[in-house]
Parts: sequence; C-alpha cells; structure tokens
Amino acid sequence: MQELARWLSSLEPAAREAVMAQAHGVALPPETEVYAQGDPVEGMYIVLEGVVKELAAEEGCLRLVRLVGPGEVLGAGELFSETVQTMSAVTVRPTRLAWLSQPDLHEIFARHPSALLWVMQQFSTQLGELRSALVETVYVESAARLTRKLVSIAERFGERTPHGVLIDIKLSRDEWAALAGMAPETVSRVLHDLERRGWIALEGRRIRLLEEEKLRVHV
Amino acid sequence: MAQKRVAIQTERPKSPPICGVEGCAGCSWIFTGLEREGQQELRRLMRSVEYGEDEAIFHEGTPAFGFFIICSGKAKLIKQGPAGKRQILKIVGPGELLGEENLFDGGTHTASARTIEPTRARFIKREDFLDFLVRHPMIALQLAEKVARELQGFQAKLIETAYEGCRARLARLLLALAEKYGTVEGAIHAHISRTDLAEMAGISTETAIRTLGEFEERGLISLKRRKIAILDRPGLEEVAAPLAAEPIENLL
Repeated sequence: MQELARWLSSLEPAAREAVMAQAHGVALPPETEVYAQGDPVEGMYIVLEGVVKELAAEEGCLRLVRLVGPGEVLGAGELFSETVQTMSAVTVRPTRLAWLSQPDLHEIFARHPSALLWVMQQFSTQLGELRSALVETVYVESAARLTRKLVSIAERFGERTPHGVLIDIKLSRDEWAALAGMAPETVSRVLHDLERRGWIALEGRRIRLLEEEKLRVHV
Repeated sequence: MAQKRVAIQTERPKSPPICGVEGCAGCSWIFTGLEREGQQELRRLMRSVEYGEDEAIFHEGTPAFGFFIICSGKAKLIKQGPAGKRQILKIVGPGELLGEENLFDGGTHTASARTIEPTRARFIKREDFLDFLVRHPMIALQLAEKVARELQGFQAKLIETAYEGCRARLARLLLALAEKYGTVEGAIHAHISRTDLAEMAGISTETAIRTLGEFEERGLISLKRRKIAILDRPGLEEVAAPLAAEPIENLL
C-alpha cells in the first residue's frame, strides 16, 4: 500500500492516515471483472498498479468509455449519485487496487472533509478530459483523433523500450474505435496506414510507437 | 414495438434563496439543507457582479479565482476546438453554478463562459468556498453528487456524439431545451441562435439550419424568427431515439 500513500500525498496527514487505515488491498489478474453494470454500489477503488477499462452498454454491446490507471479512482461517481454501478470495470493488466467501503468513506469524509475534496479533484480532472474528448469527437477528423489517442495512451501507460514505446494493453479494434469515437473499420484503416508509414508496429493486439515525434507532429 | 423513451434531464427543486434578495427564485439544490448560520456565512462570501449581453465572464486557460451563482439571465460554457470551432458544453440559468468544476483541480478554467442575455450573478472566491466546504461537509457531499452527475451526463453525451446522427442529436437537444426552459405559446422560452444550437449539438450551422428546415417540413416543429415551437412531440421523440446511458444533469 506504499503507492497509496504516494497518491494521497496532497492530503493532510490525518486524512491520509484515515484513508490508509480503512483501505483493503485487492489484486486481480488481467481480464477480470472488478464490478458489473447494475451491481450495487458498495465502495470505491483507487488504482495502485495496472489498468482497468470502464465499459458502458450501448445498443447491446459494451463500449469502452475510459481507461483508468494508477492514482485514479474507480466507481467513485456512483458513490454519490447512484445505488448501482452505471458501468462495468474489467482489468486489462495484472492490477492492484485499494478498496474503501461506502460506510468507511462516509465516516472519513465526515471527519476529514479534505479527503472528499481530493475525490472531487479527481472528478474535475475526469470532467476536463471528457469535455476535451467531446470537442475532439465533434471537430477533429477521425484519423487524427485515433493518433492523438495512441500518443496519449502511450504517455500514460506505455513502456519505453529501445525500439519505441510499447502499449502493452490488449484492446480490440472495437475498443480502440470506442475510445476514439469512430467505426472499427476506420480504426483498422488508420492503424495500417500508420504502420505503412513506419510510425507504429502492430504486434497482435499490442501496438508499438516507433516514431513518437512524427506521430505528435501528425496530430 | 414498445414506445421509445427519450431521456431528458430533470432538475431538482432549488434551495431557498441564499442571497436574501427579494424576488430571488432560489439557489442551486446543492445548498438545500444549509442551516441559517451557514447561509449567512455563505452570503458574506458573495460579491455581486453584472454583465451585459454577449459579454465574457471568464476565458478558457485563465486562472480560476472562484465560481459564480447565476441570479438572473443566462450564460453559456464554451470549449474551444481546433480552427476556431467551438462546442457549447452547457447553458446555465438562474440559481445554477458556473465554473464550480475548476475549484478543485489546480484552478485553471477548462472552458470559457459568456453571457447570452444580461446576467446578474454572485461570485465566491475559491479559497473562501473550499474553507466553507470543509466546515459544511453536507454541502460538499451534495456538490460531489452534482459533479458526479455532470460526469455521467458528459459520458452519455460523448457516446451520443460518437454514435448518433445529427438529426437525433438536434431533436434531443430541442426536447431538452423545451423541458429545461419551458414553452410560451408553444415556443421554447429561450432565445438561442442557430449557431448556438449547432454548437450545442456538435454539428455545423448549415446542417443545423437544414435539419431544422426538414423538421419543419415534416410538421415536427415550427420556426418563426429565432423562436422554435415543438408541434409534434411524439414525432420528435421518435427522431431523438433513446440514449442508452441516461444523461441526468447538465446535458445542456
């Protein structure tokens, strides 16, 4: 739980200790459900290590809405506004989480309001990202949007290797399409075009950014 | 086939007026339950501000020194896109908050705000309000709920924008505007230009004008100058199609 102390470093010591004292560690292998849409809301997670995808049901299929990484909260929105989870959460990599139950959180918030302000800061960041994504979906052409997504995901979750930045997150074409707000066929076309230029390498479901700088200029 | 249900935001009843000004219709529901001393404390933190029509309140990227409670008038929150394009994120009216989401994340405005009509508001400084929230955890929890609902609303809007056509988006927007602002003699009680409508729906102005014309030809709406009246609500709801994720608050 050392990472948890790091992510909570902006909290005053008493609030940080209260959160640390009530947090329970959870370790999950990849492709494991953390919770499903419709499950009762019982608490909130903080990602310590790994990546979790949040999926929303849309017209019978699950659409990837967000990737959640270390230091970010998961299932927190529903804690205040819903009784059931509005999305499903599934691990993408081996993942460790800190779980806090709803009654414990309410007690922490009542005694240490700064802990609540920390959660709200996370909401603000998410809101800012969502609004930017909305403007991009409306005004940025789809190829550029996917390239931007590749660069930003490489920044957050990529592993720097001697041969470029490896995005070791196994996402399907449909999931990339949902993340960038476009058709799966367009995803395939754009990825193959970037590969033909020698800027990325497609390694099964993994993607390696070979020319990060050129991709940045491109977007 | 079952009748499609169109998800339209519902607003909560406002809290009693905090400012104490006669004729005030009340404040955002997040202040509901605030005891008398708390109201007085909040009132002492407020500063009155006034803006004319189409006047900037704050700009994207500039420091956020605090937030606003709208007393009268309307303002729009705008996010800048590439090549001068803009997306209207929402419109706020009396009792609603403006700029509150940037109280917690480092204090930079992530969107611009501009008045639509002459607007009076109360401004509260960021540090003062954060101190106030620490002393009034119930209001902090209600604000957390509001921001969480707004997050869900934008998630739904993002899915809508990515997967739905401009007709469905514009139809849903008209239904939501009618719900939020009501109608006078059938016409939506808000003067919103075609450009603003387009920027709210995330489509070009030309497409908005063409689609509105199409809705009028189909007898769904009538257009008179800047006024739009909904003539066939079930018909418009059918065009709107339901959202899988329900936008609860602040879709507009």
